[in-house]
Amino acid sequence: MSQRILIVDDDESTRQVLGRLLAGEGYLTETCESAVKALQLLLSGEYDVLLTDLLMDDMTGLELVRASREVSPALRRIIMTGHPRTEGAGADVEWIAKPIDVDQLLALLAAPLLALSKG
Amino acid sequence: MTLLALPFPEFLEAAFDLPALERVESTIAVIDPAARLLWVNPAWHRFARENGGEESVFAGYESYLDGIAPPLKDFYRSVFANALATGEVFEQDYECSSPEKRRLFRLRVLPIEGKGLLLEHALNAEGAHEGASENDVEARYVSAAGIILQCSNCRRVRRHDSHAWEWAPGFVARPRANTSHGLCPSCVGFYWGLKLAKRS
Repeated sequence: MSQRILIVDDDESTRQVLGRLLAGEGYLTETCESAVKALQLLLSGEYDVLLTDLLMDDMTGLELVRASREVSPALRRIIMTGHPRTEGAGADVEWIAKPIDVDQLLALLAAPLLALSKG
Repeated sequence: MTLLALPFPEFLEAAFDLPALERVESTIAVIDPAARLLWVNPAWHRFARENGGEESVFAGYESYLDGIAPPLKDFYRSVFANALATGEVFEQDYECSSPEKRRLFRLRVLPIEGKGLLLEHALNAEGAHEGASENDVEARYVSAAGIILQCSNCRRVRRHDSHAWEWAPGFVARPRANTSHGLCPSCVGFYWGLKLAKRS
């Protein structure tokens, strides 16, 4: 069964591009522009992966992944950022750099949890 | 041996006047259909020297595309292929500023009977940056929520008032922690458009 990915980014272009890219690769995708709205969506328990921006208006990506542990413990959590990685995010958080390298993102999603983004 | 010591490509002699190409202020390069450099004019070397670039280039070995940032390589590869195939001239205005000066250029790609391309970069305007102070960065680019939106691809920064994407060399040199990374329309169109089209 296809993985369901929730893409969270306050930049509309990024949401559209990633949504189209991942849908084209067979993933089920949904996009939203705010962390608060993302948390509401995650309550449904329908998502396998949270792919979120780091810096957003209402809540940071780090705050979102922390809150997501409460509402969706089994979720895979990936933070996209143009900044250096932040220490203390938690061992269950994976990172991918912006600008997104398509092949790297697809490899990360296809790999077992935390297989590629450690180190 | 630099390109200055090499003969002017024969296939150009019928179409262009060598002394004129050597005199002009515009930087000019001639490439073959595989985008390998065949010849550059003195202005090219001068520009490279003044901007800290590599002055010596070697004909037939270096691809012109090697000097283009990876996100734009596919775009210019397709521009060159299209110009060679159709014989149509391609023109594009672009900004290539330094931290000290704002500079606007026009690129012209002239096909030469399917044998190569002449690339001319002409400086159209040069002047001081408008407002490069910290206060200007705050006023122009920081949103009400305190966030600066920068294109993760080309590094241009979006004005919060007009939503125009601008080069802000002073900001790029000193990026801030309150920077969020998105994509500007140009990069969505050219860079991601090509990537998505390849995968569809």
